[in-house]
Amino acid sequence: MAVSPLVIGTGLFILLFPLANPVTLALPVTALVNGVMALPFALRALVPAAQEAEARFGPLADSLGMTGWHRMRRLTLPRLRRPLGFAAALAAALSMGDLGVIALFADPDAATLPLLLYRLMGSYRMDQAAGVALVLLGLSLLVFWVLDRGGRVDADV
Amino acid sequence: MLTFEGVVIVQGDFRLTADMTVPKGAQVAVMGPSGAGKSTLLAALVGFVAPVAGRMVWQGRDLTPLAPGARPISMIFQDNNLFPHLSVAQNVALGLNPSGRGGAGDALLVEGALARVGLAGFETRKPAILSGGQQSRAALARMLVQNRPLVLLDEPFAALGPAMRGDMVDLVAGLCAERGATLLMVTHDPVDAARLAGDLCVVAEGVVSAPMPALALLANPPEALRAYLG
Repeated sequence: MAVSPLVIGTGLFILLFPLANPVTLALPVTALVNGVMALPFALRALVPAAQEAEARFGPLADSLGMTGWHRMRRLTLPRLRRPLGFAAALAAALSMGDLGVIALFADPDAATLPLLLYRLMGSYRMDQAAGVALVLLGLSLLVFWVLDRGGRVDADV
Repeated sequence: MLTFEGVVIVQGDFRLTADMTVPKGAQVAVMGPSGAGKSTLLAALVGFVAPVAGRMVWQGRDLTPLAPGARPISMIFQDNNLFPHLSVAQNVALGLNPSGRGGAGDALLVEGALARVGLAGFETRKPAILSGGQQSRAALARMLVQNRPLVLLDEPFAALGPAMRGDMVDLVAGLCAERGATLLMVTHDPVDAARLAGDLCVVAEGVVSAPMPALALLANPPEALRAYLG
C-alpha cells in the first residue's frame, strides 16, 4: 500500500470528472478510498485472530457440521469481536484525518474538519486552526474509543 | 458394527494400519503409547484425516467419503469442546442443529440433556465459569442431543482428578448404554479402561489391534500392552 490516498483520489477524480459532479460523489469515494487504505491495518489485526479461531475451534465446528453462514455467525464473528472493534476504530480514526481524496472532491462551500484546518492554516488564521485541530483530535479519539470499546465489552476470551 | 477395512493412515514417516471390527453397542477403550496414533485413529474415523487406503464402514455404509459433520458420530475432544462465547444451552443446542437455533421443543431437549448430566439450571452460564468437570458434562449433554450411534472420546477427561474421571467414565458408559451407542474412548490410564469394563483396543507399533475384553487383557497383557503398562 505504497500509493498515497491523494494519488488514488486524483486518479478517481480524473476518471469520474467527465461522468459526474465530483461533489455528489465525495462521500462514497472518500469512504471507498479510506476503506482501502485502512485494509492492511485491519487485516493485520483480523487474520491472526481468524487463524487462531480456526485452529482452536475448527475441528469442533466441523464435527458439528457448522459450515457457511452458521460457522461465520456462531464461530468466526464472535471470535473476531475484539480485532473487529479495533480495526473499525483504526479505520475510523484514519478516515477522520483524511485530506487526500476530500481535497479534490469536496464541495467548496462545505468542508470536512481536516480541510477546514488546512484552509485556515493557509490563510494564517492559526488560533482558529488550533481550535479546529482540537475538535478534530477530540472527535477522533472519541470515535476510536467507542468502536474499540464496542469490541471489548462482554467479549469472552 | 463398525469395520475398518484395510485402513492405512500415513502422516509423514508415521504409518498406522487398522483392520478390525467393533460390534454395535460395544464400549471400547483405546490405549497405547504416546504418538502411537490413538488420536489419529479417531481423527480418521471422524473425518479430519483421510486414510490413504481402505475404508471405514458403519452398518454397511461407507463413511470414508463423508464430511465430518455428515458422519453418524459425536466427538468429544481433549479440549476446546465448548465455544466460550456461547452459553451452555447454546453450545448444547448446536448438537441439534448447526445453526444453533431451534423451537421450544429443542429448548426442552437441551434442558432435559443438561438435567441428565447434572447441569440443571446451568443453561445461561458461559463455559468460562464452569469447572473442568462441568465443562465435560456440558459436552456430554451436547452428545446426548446429537443422538448419534457412534461416540468418540479423545482423552476428554485427562485434566480431571482420578475420582472425577471415574465418575465421568461411569456417566459416559451409562449414557451410551441407554442409547445403545457404540463408544470408542482414547485413554492413557488402565484404570479408565478397567472402569469402562468393555473392550480394549491396543494401538502400538503402527497397528491397531482388534478389541478384546478389557479386564482379561489387562490381567494378562500381550507384549505391546505390557511394554506400555510397564
